[in-house]
Amino acid sequence: MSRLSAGDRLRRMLELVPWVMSQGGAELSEVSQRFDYPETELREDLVKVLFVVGLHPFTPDELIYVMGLDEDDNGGWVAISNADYFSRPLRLTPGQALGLIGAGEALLSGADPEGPLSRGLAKLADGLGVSMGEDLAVSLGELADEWVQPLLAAVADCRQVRVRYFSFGRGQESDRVIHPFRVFSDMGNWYVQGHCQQAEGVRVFRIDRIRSLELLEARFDPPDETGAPSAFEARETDPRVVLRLSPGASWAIEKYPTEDQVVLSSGEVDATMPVSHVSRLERLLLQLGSQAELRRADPPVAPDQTRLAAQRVLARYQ
Amino acid sequence: MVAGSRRKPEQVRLERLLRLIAALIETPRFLSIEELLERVGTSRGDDSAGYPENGAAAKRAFHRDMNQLADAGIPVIAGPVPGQERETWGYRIRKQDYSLPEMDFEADELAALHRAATAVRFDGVSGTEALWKLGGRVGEGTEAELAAVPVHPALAELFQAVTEQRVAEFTYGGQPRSVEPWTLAFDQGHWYVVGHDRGREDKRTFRVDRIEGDMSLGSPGGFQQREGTTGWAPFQPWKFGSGPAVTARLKVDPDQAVWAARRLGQEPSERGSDGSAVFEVVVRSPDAFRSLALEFLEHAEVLGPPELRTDIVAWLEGLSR
Repeated sequence: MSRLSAGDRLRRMLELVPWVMSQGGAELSEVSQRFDYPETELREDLVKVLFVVGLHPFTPDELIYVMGLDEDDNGGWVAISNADYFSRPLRLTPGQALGLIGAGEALLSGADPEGPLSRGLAKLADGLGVSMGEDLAVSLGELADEWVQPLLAAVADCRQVRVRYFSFGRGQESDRVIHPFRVFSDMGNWYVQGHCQQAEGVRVFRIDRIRSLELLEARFDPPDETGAPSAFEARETDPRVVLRLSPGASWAIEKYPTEDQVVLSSGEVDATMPVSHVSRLERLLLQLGSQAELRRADPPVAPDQTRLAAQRVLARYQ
Repeated sequence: MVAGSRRKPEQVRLERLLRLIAALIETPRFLSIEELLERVGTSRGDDSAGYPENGAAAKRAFHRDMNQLADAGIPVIAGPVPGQERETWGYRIRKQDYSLPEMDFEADELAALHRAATAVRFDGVSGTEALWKLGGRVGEGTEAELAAVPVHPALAELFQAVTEQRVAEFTYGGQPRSVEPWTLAFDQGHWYVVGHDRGREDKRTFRVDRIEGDMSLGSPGGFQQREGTTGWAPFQPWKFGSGPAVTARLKVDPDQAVWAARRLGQEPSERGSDGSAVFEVVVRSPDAFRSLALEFLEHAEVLGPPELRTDIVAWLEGLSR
């Protein structure tokens, strides 16, 4: 850890003092671990700083008592008293409360209702006057989805899995053996990233499109570095298209991965998007209708791609 | 007990900050800057905590300290110092503003919250610091992050507004809004706030990242929570709109039937002998429903009602020319 600033020390000290006081004393090593305070720094700051803090006129009875730690050895036990003004930890900021309750809430749907997360979260929400689910609802997608938990277990144990997977792009199912590296949520859906034996490369799969899953006995060696995963990891080889979007169609930029966007003086936007499969492009063109115009495609697609797709879908209605 | 070796500058600064906080808490009234400088004391050299003897330098150092306290989230309030002939402003910390309410966590509960905070990261929010306040970091957390949740600048304020029933005023769609916020929700990768729009006298849903400019909050308890108004329904845009509710029938090919059931959050009402599925979908926004049906390209068909079928046929005919 880099050298702690006065502010870093202050934020830790204000929270560890109430905890040590509430415990009636604690092992220095535990305080160090709980509050991310390197032990030598912590010892020095308790002995050389906290011990001389107090109220005006700083007579001995007005100073904080720091007991234990008399010996200059490693470890040791410490107790703190005569510091009523530091006997309570600081309130959580609204951002901290949001982050902690939100993180817990997001994982609650898959958790044991009697388990430690449910209990801890209930205490926290109650203490802060927050109604779970009513004041705040955080959804990362259905964590209760039947394959999320088994895949998390497979990631943890480096177990291979065999899945029957529905590829939305190709409109068909296939059997694949995957070495799952990690499970993550993005834009409300759960994904698993891993090496796919059939594709002979790293791929990202949407978990709700897995029809069946079998945990195999075979293990795999996890990669050293998987990098930050993204649901829409465009490959170099994916075709790129440029769509000219009218101002009302900007939602498409938020919903689909966009590598570049140029705002024109007319208010229209030229958006460059990778499209892994032609059906992804067709879906977008049909949904946007006259609000999008296909300007360029690399490699080129049919110039009347929208018309062809519309005719194909329309055939169902005739 | 004080060891002979000299202290680092940041340790000397820490002592002064702790003395200042102690003085600000341990007072029943606002204290002027002069009183605070005296109660914290004067520095007698590099290794001695306190403010410089020179008055102007002392005030500069004092204001630096106050900024440091604000950065640490310490609620210092300002107000008039009593018994002064000329109005003088002073400072104090009220214990009720400063202190976390009593919450006694078991070690396994703290470890579970720690795991949650490392698995789901709120951008720009230190989960670790929040855990220190609850009794410290317990356990190892999780190795791999499951999700990163984006955080908008207005979000923390809106959360405070929801939990403390404060009216929020902001600009949205170019219009000033005055909203009683009921629920803050993260769904499909976006934050929403649901509440009563006072100007429009109706329930409205706002996307938080589309709130424009600064937001101002009213005082706590600024509105009464209405019965049965809270909570969040999963975001299915075809269910929301100004039109009357109609029940649409969507037929989906066998290959895509499982995926469609998940997308719609419901089971089919009929199954064909070939494995195809018919879903009865409640629709209030025909536009959003058309987008939904087109996600399936030629693998789905809107069977009825006639107006929705006509709508999608007309849309496709327009694009077929």
